[in-house]
Amino acid sequence: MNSKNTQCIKWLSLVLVAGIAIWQIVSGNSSFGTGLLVGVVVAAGSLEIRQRRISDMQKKGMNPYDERAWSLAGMAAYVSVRIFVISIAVIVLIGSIWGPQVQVNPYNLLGLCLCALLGLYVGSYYYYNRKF
Amino acid sequence: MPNRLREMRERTGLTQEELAAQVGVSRQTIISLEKGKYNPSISLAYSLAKVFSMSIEDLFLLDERKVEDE
Repeated sequence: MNSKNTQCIKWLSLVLVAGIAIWQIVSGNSSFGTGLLVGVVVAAGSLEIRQRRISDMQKKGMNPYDERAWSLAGMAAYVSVRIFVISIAVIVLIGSIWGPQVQVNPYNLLGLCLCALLGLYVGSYYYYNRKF
Repeated sequence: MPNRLREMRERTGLTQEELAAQVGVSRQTIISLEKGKYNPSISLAYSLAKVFSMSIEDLFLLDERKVEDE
C-alpha cells in the first residue's frame, strides 16, 4: 500500500469518527460526542502538520522514516509496554487484596488503558529522541 | 561512538541536510551521529564512508574501553 492510499484511509477514518461524534451529539450523548469531535479535530490537525513536515523532508531528498526513527520507535514501544505491564500487575495485585469492589464500564476502562499506553509511548519516544 | 563525521562534512563543504539527502536519512540522524549519540547500522556507516571516499574504520572510531565495559 503506498503512502497516498494510507493517507486516504486515515482521512476517511477521521471523517467516519467525526460522523459518529456528530450522531452521538444529536442522539443526546453530548459529552461523549463532543469529546470525540475534539479528538478528531486534534488528530486531523496533527496529521496535517506531520504530513507537511514529511513532504518537505521528502522534497529535499531526506528520508523521515530512516533507521534512527525505527530504532527510537522500537525502544519506545518496548519501554512503554514494560512500564504498562508492570504498573497494571501492581495495581491488580494491590487492588485485589485491599481495593474496594467497584463496578466499571469495560469500554471506559479499555479507553483509559489505551490512553495510558499511548501516553507512555509518546512520552518515551520523545525521551529517546532527545537522548539519541 | 566517536567519529570524524563533522570534520569530514565540514572539510567537503556539505551541510547536514545535503549529507542527509545523499545517504537517505533525516537531518536529525546526522546531528545524532555527529554528536556520537547514535550508532549507525552497517549499511549507513558504509554509505557515509562512501560519500567521503574513506573506510568505515577511518570514519568511525571504536572506543575499546566502552566495548570492554559492555
